[in-house]
Amino acid sequence: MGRIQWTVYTRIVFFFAMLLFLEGYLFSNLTAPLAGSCLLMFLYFCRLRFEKSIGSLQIQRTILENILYVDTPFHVKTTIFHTGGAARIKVKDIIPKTAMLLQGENTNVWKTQTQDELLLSYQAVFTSRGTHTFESTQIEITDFCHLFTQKQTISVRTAVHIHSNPKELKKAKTAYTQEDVLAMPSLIGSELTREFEGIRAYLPGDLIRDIDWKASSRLQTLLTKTFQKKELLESMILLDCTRSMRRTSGKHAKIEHAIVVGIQLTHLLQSMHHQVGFIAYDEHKIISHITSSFDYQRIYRELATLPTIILTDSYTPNNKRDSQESPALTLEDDTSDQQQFLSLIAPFISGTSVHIMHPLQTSGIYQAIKTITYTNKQKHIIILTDLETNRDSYDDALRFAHAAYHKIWLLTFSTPYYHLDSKDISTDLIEKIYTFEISQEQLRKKLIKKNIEIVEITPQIQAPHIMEYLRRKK
Amino acid sequence: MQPFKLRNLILPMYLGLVLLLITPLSTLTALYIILPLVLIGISFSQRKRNLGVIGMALFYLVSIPQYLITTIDDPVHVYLLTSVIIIPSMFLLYQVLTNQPIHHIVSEISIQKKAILLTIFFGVLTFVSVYLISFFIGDATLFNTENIQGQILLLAAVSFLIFTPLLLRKTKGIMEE
Repeated sequence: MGRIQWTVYTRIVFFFAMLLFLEGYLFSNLTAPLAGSCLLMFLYFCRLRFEKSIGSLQIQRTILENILYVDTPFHVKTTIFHTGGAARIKVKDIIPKTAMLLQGENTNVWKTQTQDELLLSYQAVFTSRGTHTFESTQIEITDFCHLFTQKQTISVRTAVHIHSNPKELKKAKTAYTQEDVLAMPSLIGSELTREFEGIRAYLPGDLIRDIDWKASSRLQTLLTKTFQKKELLESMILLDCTRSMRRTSGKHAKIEHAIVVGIQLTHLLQSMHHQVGFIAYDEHKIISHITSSFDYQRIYRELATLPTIILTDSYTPNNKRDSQESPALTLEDDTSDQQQFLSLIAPFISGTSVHIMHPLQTSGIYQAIKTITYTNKQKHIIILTDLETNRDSYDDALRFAHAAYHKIWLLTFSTPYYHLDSKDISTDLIEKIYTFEISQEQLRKKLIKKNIEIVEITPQIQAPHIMEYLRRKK
Repeated sequence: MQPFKLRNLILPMYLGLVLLLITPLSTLTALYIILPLVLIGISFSQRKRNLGVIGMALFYLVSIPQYLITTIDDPVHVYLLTSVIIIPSMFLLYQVLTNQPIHHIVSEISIQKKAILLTIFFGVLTFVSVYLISFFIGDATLFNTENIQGQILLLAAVSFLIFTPLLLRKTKGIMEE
């Protein structure tokens, strides 16, 4: 309950009452102080009346739509039950920063009577995906004379999950070609037996050893042998949700693009009868895990609950390695005390119950890879990351995944494309970006040696482009 | 918002009339009394609350002190001033601050029949008490033109009697709507 405050009119009336007392004293006139006393009594009467008219307020907020999407309008209805007396009530429904008002007003003023029900109805749109919360409603109760006011903020939390734009889903359905479908087995690799099934026309990306030379020479066109499918690899999409992925200063956000690419790849892989699972992780732990299935909607629903973007003003590349950021992560200087400390603390940080052998294992990516490798089954892992946070851990975790014979695609999001405004470029910044890119390149080279497919992603790239790139690379 | 009507000016006109009657008249005094009330009247028609507040301030600082009381020894004067001018001026202040004619406020605040009956009762009671007081003033007869106080009190009593039903009749009309 807020404090009752004086408005400007109360101050004026009070000031004049005092002035009337002064006037009475100076001019020896009883009329003026009499009027002053009556004014003070009037203020007191209004105050008492106002106190009586403040009752309890109950607020109920309803979102009319069941599923909400980015850039798609939704309707909000806020009902306020006022059980007090007659008063003037101003209600302002605080909308999240990421929402934009389209129609109607989230603020309204009513002159209420006793036991009134007020309705605030408006239409808004969310500009970014994720879980957003309508935090509170601001109420300002004023008496009819505009003499006293009481402001209060009532916490009414309504959490909404905003899904990615459905247009992206449609794009994924229409954008991939038959070539992508046919080339997929050769891209992912090991799910084929060598048992002959048939012949089809050659497509770029087919292995040379699979070309049926005899048939090709007979028909004067290249033909490829197809083989019986033995077992389809399960795919796991690993999405990096660390702060570096979420930070953005412009309209492009890495995390949003990664989600769109993730949706498209999920759809693409599931349409080719691959079971697709999903893991989202942050700096220290796994934040979302969906086991492999053909249920596309489960992943799509989960994507809406992931952390959303963090708006920042400028971009500075992070040129430090993990070991430079935190001295505790230095490989060489591990002492037994640190080991003991980490083995106790790290399970709480990373949410695992397993024993942590090394500080690098406390990262989200390591936990994700470990979860996948737990089943001892070969999988196709697609990692969507910007390779900026826990870089040493990536090296370590991918080495671990490679040793377990997983097929890995590493889709790296190049930050300057998303986060850099040409107006902010300075020589110093360019130098930093250059140093950063060199270190990124070194890391990529290291990973390529482990037979990991690396695709650098820019804001325009969609899943079909990735498929095409990988096909051509083959 | 209710449209402006002439009946919204009942209170300023009433106060102006009473003040003009009870104060010794001169051109300057009349100007001091009328000017703030004109400002208040304009604020009603233009829906400018701030102008009304300025008018009320002038009314309290300039108009009311025109009626001079130097001592509290004369309770009739004090009672007269309080009941005939200051209390109605509070209603006027209420009207200025809410920017609504008084009968609209009454209709919004007290819509119970009990409140209306209570107001009528107090109106009649005030009339009777003021009427009786006018009899206790020495040599007061209702038609004695020399006794100004008696006439003013009578005027006040009649004004109360007229004023209260006027408000309530409008209230009733709005309630029925």
